[in-house]
Amino acid sequence: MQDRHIINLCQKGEYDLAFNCIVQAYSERLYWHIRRFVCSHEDTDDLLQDVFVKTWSALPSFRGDSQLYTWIYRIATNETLNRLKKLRREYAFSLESVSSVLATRIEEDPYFNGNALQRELHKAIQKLPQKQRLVFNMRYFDEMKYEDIAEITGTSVGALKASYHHAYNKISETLKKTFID
Amino acid sequence: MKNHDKDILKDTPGIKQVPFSVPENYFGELKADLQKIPQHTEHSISTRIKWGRAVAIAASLTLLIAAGRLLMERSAYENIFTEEDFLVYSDDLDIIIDEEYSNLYATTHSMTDEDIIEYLLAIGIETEEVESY
Repeated sequence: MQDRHIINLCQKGEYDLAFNCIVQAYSERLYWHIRRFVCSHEDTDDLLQDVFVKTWSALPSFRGDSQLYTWIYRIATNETLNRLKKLRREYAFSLESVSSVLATRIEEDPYFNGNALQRELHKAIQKLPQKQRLVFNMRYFDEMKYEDIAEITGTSVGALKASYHHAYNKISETLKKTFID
Repeated sequence: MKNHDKDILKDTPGIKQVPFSVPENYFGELKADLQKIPQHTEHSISTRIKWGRAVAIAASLTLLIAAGRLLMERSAYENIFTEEDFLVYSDDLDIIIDEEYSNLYATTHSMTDEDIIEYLLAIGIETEEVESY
């Protein structure tokens, strides 16, 4: 309903109003979406600014061919993946892998207020391959439809289901080993 | 055994909850900051418009090149015989100058009736016909 209203504003050329509605509706959701990937409040805050600058810049080119929410999530996901790519380049010659850097961030995060199981869950997610991490976060936490994830990531629904299945099993096994065995 | 069969991701209460917090009043300040973006950021030209422009430029260039080529081909066709060729060909021509005709053409403006009659007879017109003129 809100998306329909925003699209109508865009079609009327009232981009300022449309953008304000997007900020109200999406800033918090996108914050958590990004935060799960970069595991740091500062990086998330920085990335979120970039995402909204891109969203504002590209707003007149949004024609409503796709859903507004998948369009915005695609921008956020691309920005996040680019940031992680940059991080990988920074650690290319380091003995430390990016997944262990992200796991350390979770370990040392002053804003982490979950329990031990949640901490291990989020550390295990960082060890997944990128595509599996993407689909796991969007499906498990945000409970998005596969069709929407497919639109955001540009991957087929079948491939996403397979990736999610692998990711789910890997994480279950890791957590079982730590907390049940 | 029972614990081992448990789906930890599904059956653990609260596991999906966000385990992170944010600084106090963060989202309120964030929204206020984000709403300032339109004041200092311009819209970018959409990809569709960029492509449209690129296609228009490409089409204009193609037309320009095609027209240029056509013009070059045409002028090359017109100049198929160069001045040199003309001189070579003109060497092959036998120029026969009939003095009588040459004199005749040269003096058309001062021809008398007698000259005309003489000419008509010379080209084989009968005397009767000449007289009828």
